[in-house]
Amino acid sequence: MINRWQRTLVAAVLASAVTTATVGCVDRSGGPESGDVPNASIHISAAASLTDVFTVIAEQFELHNPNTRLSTSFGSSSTIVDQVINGAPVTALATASEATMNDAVKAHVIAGTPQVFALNQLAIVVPAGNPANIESIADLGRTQVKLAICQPQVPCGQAARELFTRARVPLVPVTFESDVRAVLAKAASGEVDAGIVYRSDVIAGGTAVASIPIPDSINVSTRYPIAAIANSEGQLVVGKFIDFLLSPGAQLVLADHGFTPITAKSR
Amino acid sequence: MAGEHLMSAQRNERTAAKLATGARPVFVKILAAIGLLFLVAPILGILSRVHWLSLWSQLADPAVRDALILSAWTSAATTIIAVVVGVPLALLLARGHGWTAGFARAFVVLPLVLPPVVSGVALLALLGRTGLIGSRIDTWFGFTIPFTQVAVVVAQLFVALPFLVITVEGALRTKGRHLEQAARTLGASESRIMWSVTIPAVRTAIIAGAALCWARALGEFGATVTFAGSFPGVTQTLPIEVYYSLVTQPDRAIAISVLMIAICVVVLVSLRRSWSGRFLRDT
Repeated sequence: MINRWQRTLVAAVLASAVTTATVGCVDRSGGPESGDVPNASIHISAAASLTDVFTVIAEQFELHNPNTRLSTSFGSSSTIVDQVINGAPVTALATASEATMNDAVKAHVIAGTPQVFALNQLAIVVPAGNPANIESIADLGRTQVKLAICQPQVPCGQAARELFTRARVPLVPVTFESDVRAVLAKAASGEVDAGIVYRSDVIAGGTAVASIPIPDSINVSTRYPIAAIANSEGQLVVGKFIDFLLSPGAQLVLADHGFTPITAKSR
Repeated sequence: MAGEHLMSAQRNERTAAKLATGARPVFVKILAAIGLLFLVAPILGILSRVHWLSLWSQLADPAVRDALILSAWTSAATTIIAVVVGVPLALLLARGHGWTAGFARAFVVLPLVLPPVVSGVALLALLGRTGLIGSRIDTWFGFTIPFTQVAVVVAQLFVALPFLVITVEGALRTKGRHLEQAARTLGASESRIMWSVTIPAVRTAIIAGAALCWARALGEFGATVTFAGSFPGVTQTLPIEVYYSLVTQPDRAIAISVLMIAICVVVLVSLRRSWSGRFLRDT
């Protein structure tokens, strides 16, 4: 009995050793062929509303800089700022408002000055087919309309509150979601009649959602700053990435995703 | 002579006690200490962050009070429903054989291992406004479950019910069988056997299971926030309040966390003294 167990154990150890060796070989042969530029990998923690556009831009950036690995993660601006302050291992931070970025600046975790790279405006998102027949923001004040907005602590929640104040419509949501993509998901699944998100999120929602225009006179816009994290490795690459974000090509991608590109003047 | 007898008896007792405890080498004790420390240290960590002077004012905040009231009654309602449907389920599972019982048992365990957010998504797919049953409820009664207190209880019940069922089923498998058989040979009816033999035999397990179920319901976050959303006073339970205030009002988040730890400790300790202690010793 013991012998059989021992044999099994030896076999398992041998098998794992062989596997490791093989994988090791593959790894070595599959690595970069010439080391002319040292490998750099950076990680950007970004606002939830940037999910799709940053994934696209990151791919393009990697194409232009083959030796660079760029990874991204997303969450509500207040959450990601809190994570960075608590020592999250990221090289750059991109938030959906200057107020949340300022919290990071005040906590001395930012290197240099944050750079605004895009603007965004609020939008009313409704499930495809608009089941509650929402025509304007005034309809959102009706009590039977189920409305989702972001929780007040995150930028989209604050912006939504300001929008309703400007429109003089009572704000009666059924739920405060943790970030803007959670609001989008509630609208896309038809659980709510409407949600307040950014224009870029409506595009991200595809055919599952539609949007109702908000007059420019009352709409609230937000500015997206990006900054390198102090004492993090790869700040040079972050600088290159920020330049890339401000390049006409990346600004066009941002515009395609519903963001307002930033002009030299408004920087 | 008598004294010697007594001493040797005591010695025998001690040896017997030592034998009964089994082998405890030093490395076992070291590893156990690491395990225990891992569980105790985070609690000490949170206690070190508490501003004891402002604790009461943090907890007296209307938002916290609303969340506390909501959490208290929803977790209580969940526990009551869990006992009403969970004990019968445990009775059938404990006596059940064959593939149906195995199948049912697998589904009972599933919510224990599912990520709570997945449980929330599953509940939306069934009871959401566009869900399998939810859409029909909406058409027939004009009522949608998400974003209501009903949704909070439903989410809690889905994740917490297994704790009760498994605890009670475990006890039923080991207890009362002989008494049940004796009662049956004496001609007692099935319902009489259940009420006067089976249920009393596992009473302590029902209470222990209800306590575990209640604690899990009180702490529920993922399924609730996914299925019921979050609105102060309606669906924003204590754990959601902790999560949302963590970023902007960390002192409040810590204060609520300490409150929840205190509530759970008080309830579990008092149960351990009276009922579950006996249950845990017995099994």
